Amino acid sequence: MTGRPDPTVGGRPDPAVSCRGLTIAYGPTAVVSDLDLEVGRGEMLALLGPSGCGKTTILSALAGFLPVASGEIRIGGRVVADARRQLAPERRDVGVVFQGYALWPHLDALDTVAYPYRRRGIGTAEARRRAAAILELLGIAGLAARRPAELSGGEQQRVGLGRALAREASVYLFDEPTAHLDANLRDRLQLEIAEHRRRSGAAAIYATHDTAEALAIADRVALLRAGHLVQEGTPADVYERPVDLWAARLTGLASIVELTLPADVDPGSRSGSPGPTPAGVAGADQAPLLSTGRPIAAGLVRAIVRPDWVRLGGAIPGRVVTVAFRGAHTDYRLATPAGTIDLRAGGPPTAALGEPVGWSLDRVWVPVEAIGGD
Amino acid sequence: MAESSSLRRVAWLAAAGLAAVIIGWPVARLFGVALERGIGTLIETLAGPQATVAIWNSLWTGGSIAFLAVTGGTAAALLTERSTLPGRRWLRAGLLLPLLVPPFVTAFGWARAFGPRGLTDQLLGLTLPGIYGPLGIVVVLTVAAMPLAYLIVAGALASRVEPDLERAARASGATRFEALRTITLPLLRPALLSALVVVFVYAINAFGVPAVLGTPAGFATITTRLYQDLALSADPAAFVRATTMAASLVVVALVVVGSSDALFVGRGAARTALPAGAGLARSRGVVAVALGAAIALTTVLPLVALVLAALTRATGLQPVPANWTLDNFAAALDGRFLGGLAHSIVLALAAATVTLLLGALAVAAGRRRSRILGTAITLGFAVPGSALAVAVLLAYGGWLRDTLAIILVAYVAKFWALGHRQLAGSVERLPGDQVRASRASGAGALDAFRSVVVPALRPSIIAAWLVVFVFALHELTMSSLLYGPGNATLAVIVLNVQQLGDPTITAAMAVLLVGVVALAAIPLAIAGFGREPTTRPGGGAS
Amino acid sequence: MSVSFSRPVARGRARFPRAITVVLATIALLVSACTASGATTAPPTAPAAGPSLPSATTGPSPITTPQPEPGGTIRLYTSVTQATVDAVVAGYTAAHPGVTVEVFRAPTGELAARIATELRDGRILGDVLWLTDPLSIQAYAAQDLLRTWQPSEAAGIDPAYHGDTYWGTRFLNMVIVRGSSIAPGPLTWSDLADPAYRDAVAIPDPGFAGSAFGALGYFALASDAGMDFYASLKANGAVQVKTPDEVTAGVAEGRFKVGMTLDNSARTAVTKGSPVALVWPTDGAIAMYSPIGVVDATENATAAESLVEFVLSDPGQVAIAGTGWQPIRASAGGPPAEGPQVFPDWADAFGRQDDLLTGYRAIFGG
Repeated sequence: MTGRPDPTVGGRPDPAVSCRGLTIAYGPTAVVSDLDLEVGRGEMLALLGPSGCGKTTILSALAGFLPVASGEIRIGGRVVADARRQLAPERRDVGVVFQGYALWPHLDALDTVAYPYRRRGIGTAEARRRAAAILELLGIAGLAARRPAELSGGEQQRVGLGRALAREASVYLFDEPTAHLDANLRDRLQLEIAEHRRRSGAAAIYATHDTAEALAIADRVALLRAGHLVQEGTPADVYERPVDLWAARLTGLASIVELTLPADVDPGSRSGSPGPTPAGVAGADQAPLLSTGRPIAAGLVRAIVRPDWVRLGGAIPGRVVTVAFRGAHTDYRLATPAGTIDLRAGGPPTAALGEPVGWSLDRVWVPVEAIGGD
Repeated sequence: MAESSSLRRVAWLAAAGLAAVIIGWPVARLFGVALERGIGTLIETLAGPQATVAIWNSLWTGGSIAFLAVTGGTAAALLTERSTLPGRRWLRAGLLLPLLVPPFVTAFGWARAFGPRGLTDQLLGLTLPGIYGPLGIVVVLTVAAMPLAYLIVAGALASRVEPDLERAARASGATRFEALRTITLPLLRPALLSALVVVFVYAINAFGVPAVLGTPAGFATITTRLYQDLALSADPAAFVRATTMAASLVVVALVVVGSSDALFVGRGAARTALPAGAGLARSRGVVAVALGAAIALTTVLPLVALVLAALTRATGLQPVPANWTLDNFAAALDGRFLGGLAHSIVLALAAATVTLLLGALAVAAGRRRSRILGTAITLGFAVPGSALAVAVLLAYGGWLRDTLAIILVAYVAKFWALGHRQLAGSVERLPGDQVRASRASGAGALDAFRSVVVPALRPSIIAAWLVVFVFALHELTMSSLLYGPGNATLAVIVLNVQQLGDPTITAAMAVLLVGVVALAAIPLAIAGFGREPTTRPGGGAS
Repeated sequence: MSVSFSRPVARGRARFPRAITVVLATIALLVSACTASGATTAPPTAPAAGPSLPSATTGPSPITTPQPEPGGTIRLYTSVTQATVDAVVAGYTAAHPGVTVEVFRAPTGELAARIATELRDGRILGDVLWLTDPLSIQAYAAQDLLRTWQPSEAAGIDPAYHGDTYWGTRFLNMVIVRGSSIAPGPLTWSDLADPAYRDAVAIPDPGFAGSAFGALGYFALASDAGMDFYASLKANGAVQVKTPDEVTAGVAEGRFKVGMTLDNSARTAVTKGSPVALVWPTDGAIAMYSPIGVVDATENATAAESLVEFVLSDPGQVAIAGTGWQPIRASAGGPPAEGPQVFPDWADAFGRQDDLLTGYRAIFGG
C-alpha cells in the first residue's frame, strides 16, 4: 500500500475519496457512525456543520490520525483504513492544512514548505528550490526566511497551504483553515485556497462551520449533524432544497410560513393557480412557486422561505421589526399574519422600524422532513 | 496580582532583605573565609590531590547521570505522553515512585538487592559488579533523578496544547521516527536543557548515595570530601580545604545557573491524550510491560530487599521466614528515632511554610525588578547543599550553632527557589483580566489578590508546599553537617546508624524512614494520579 | 455603591490578622526550636549546701570534700556504644534526678571534628568526654583542655589505666572474627596476612573508630611488626571499612572471611545467630581502656564530676558490664578476657598520633 493510486483501474475512474459505513469512536462512544461519503476526482467537498458535529474527526481519520472503528476508507480506490489496519499518515496520498496553522517554530517558511520534499528523499538544495517556487506562487516569496513568530495569521496559513501543496497529493484536507482569521482576510484566503486547489487538479475536503464559505467555494456540500450525514448535494441544492428545518437553518436564514393548499401536490415544482396562499391572508393574487420534496395533502402546510424569495411591495400586510443595512443590501425582519418573515432587499433601507409595509411571496419550499406542527 | 506599586516595592525590599540574610551573607562569609589566606593558597588547595580528585569525580559522574537520566526520562515521557500505551496512569505513577524514597535509602536498598551477598546473589548468584564505586553511584542516582527529568520533559510535552505539530509532520511525509527527530526533539530542546541542568545540579548535590556506595570503595566526591573534611576530621588543613571547595562550588553553580537561564520549565496543567497516529500497535503491550518491569527492577526490588533485611534476625542469615523477627523494628523505634522524627517533621513543616511565604513574597515583588533577586534565589538551589551548609555555618554558627534554626535557614536557602518558581509559573499563566475585573467591581488590591489570585493558585500552592515538605523530610546533605547534640533529623540518625555498620538495624530504620516520607507524599501522589486527559479526539471541538 | 466599597475593605481587615497569626506562629516555632535545643548550657544551679552527701557507691572511697547536690544540664560527648551510654545515663539520672544529661554520640572521628570546630569557635561546648581509646583523649589532655581533679571512685584503678585528667571505665579487646564456615581459621594476628584469606580480610578505619586507632598504636609501636603489619595486610588485599561492627557484619554476610573487630561486636553477633565465631588471638587481644574526663571549660563542674564519679562507681560499672563490656572494676562482673591480652605502650604513643595516622594513610589511603 503506497497510497499512490492508479485511478483508471477497471475503466471507470475511482473517486478520490470514498468512505463506506465509517464509524469512528473515542473509547466507548461513537463520534461518527456509519457514514457514507464520496469525493470525485478533482472535486471539492465541503463538510458543513456546527462545532462538535464530527467534521474534524472525519478529517483526522482520513489523514490517519485516528483509527477507524468499523467501515473503510479508500483513497484513490485503495483501502487506507479499515477496522483491522490503518495505513500510516505519511504513506497516504493526502495533504493537510490545519486550523491552527501547525507551523513549526524552529523552521522558517522556506524550510517548512521544503519539509515534504525532504521527507521524500529530495536533497536540501533542490527541495528549497521547489519550495521557493511554491512560495512565489502564493505570493509570499519575501517571507522565506521568516519564522512563524514573525508572520501574521494570514501569512502563516499561506505557508501552511504551501506545505500541503508541496506534498503534491491527490487529496487535500482543509480543517477550517480560515477560522482564526479576520473577516476580510477570510474572504480573500478562501478564494485563494480554492484557486490553488483547482489549479493543482486535486480533490479536496473542506471542513467548515461557515455556511457562506462552504457555499462559495465547494463543488458539493455535505451537512453533518452529530456524526451523521444529513444532506449532500451542490451548494444550490442545499440552499434551495434543504431536507429539513435544521438543514435550512444551517445553510442560511429560513423563515417558516404557513400555507393553505387547495389540492394535493406531488414532489416537484408547481406554479400557477390554484396555488397555495399564506394562511390567514385574504387575497388570491398570491401564487408563489411551490417546490416540495415530499407529497403533501391539501390543507395547511408549513414551508420554508428564504430571504431572497420575498419581495417588498406587495399585497400582504406586515410591519418592520428590525432593519439592518449591509451595504450591498438590507435585511429586514417583518411581523406578518403569516408569521415572522426575514427579507433581503437590494440597496439601502426603504422602510423604517415599525413601519407597516406590504410584501409578496415569490417561492416556497416544503422540505422532505415535515416541520414540527404539520 | 497586587498592582499597587508601593505594595510591590515593599515586597521587593522585604524579599531582597531576606535573600541577603539567608543566602547573600552566608555566601559572602564563605568567600571571606576561603580567601583569608590569599588567592595563592586557595588555588594551591584546589589543586591539591584530594580536592582535585573529588571535584573531577563529582563532575564526571554528575555529567553521566544527567545524560543518562535525561535520556531515560525523555524516552519515558515520549512513551507516556505521545503514544497509546495501555496502563499509562500506572506507568506515570510508577515512574514517579523513586521520588518517595530518599536517595541514600535507595543506595542502601540497591546494595542489599544487587550487591555482594544481596538478594540477587542469594537467589540467582548474580550481583551488579561495581555497585560499590562510581558505577553504583551513577546507576543509583540515575534511577533517583529520572523522575525529575521525566517530570520536566513530560510537562513540556503535555503543556504544548498543539499536538498538531507532530501530526503536520506526519501529514507531510515524515515517519514516526522522522517526526520525532526533526520536530519533537528540536522543539523539546529548552526542556531537555533545563532537565540536564536540574539533574546535574541534583547529582552534584547528592551526598547520601556517594556516602553509602562511594566511600567504602575509596571513591570520593565533592560532597563526601566536604563531609569528611568538616565532620570527620580534626585537621585544620581539612577545614581550609572544606571552605575552599565550598567556595569553588558556589562559583561553579553561578556559572551553570547564569549560562542556562531557564532552570525550570513551566509545567502546564492541560494534558491531551491524542496519539500522534496509529503505529506501535502490536508492540504496545510489550513496551508497557517492559517499562513496568524496569520500574519494578530499579525501584521495587531494592525496597523489597530492604524490608527483607529489616526482618532478618541477624546479619548473614538467609532472609527466609524462619529467620524473621520484628525485633529490629522495635529496636529502631527508640527515643532517638522518635526524637529525630519529631525534629524532621517540625523542620519540614516550618521549611515548607516559610519557603512558600518567601516564594509568594518574591513573586509579589514583581517581575521587572527581580532579576538579581531571582538569580540569588536560584543560586540557593543550585549551590550544592554541602557548600551551602558550610556557608550557613560560617555565617550563623556563632549564634545558631547546634539549633534547629540553623538547619531551617539552610533548608529555606535551598528550597526557596522551588516555591518561587512554582508560584511564579502559575501566576504568569493567570489571565490578567480576572484581576482587573475584580478591581473594576470594587475590590482593593490586597482583596483582589486574595479573592481572585489565591483561589486560582491554590492547587499550585498546595503542590509546592507538599514538594518542599517531602524534600525537607528526607534531606540529608545539609542536615548531616549542621545538626547538633540532640538535634539530629531522622535522615541523619539513619545515616549515622548505617555508618556504624549493622545492616539489619539500618534496614529497619530505613524502612521506617521511607514509610514516613511516603505517608507525607501520599497527597501529592493522589493529586498526580488523578489528573487525566479531558479533551476529545480531533484536537478540539468539531 | 458605598456598600460595595466598604465591605471588601472590612473583609480585608478581618483577614489581615489571620495572615499575621500564621507568620507569628512560624516565628514562635522557630524561637521555641532555638531555645528548646539549648544553645547554651544552663548555669549551674546549686541549692544551699546541706550536709555532705556521700558518693552513692560502696567500697573504700574516702569522702574528700562536701559535695552539693548536682543539678542543671550537662553535655556528654561520647563515642561509646549507644546501648552502653543509654544504660549508664539512665542509671545516673535515676540517682541524680536534678540533672539533665544531653548526649552527643558519634564515632571518634566525627566527635574529634566537632570538638575541633568548637575549639576553633572558642571553646568546647561539652562538659564530659567519654571516648573509646586513650590516644584520642590524651591529645586533648596535652592541650590542657581537661580538668585536673581526683574522683573519689578512682581510688581503686590501676595507674596504668588513668592519668591526671582521665580515667579508664572499661576494656575493649580487639580480636579476630571469622565466618563460622571458615575452619580452622586464623589464630594469630599475622595469620591475617595468610594468602588463604586473600582479598577477604576487613579492618576498621583508625581515622573513624577510636578502637582501631588504639590497635594502630599497638601494632605500630609496641609489637615488632611496626607498620609492616599493615603493609602485609594491604598486600594481601585487606579492605578497610569504617567500624568494627561493619567488619563483623561483612564477615557475617560472607563478604569477608576474617576481620579485626571488637570482642563485644563479635559476641553480640554470635548471640543473635549470625554465622560468625570469635577468635581470641593466641598472641594476645589488643586491650585498651575507654577513658572519661571532664572538660576544663565546663560551666557545670559539679554535675560533670558527679557523672564521672557515677561511671566509675559500682552501679555505673555494673551497667557497663550489663551491656557486654569488660568493666574496669573486676568486681562488677561482665565478660572476662578469653585469653592473653597485650597492652600498647600508651606513653610511647602519646604525642605521635598524627605520625601514626599519616603512616597508616600512606598504606591504606583515605
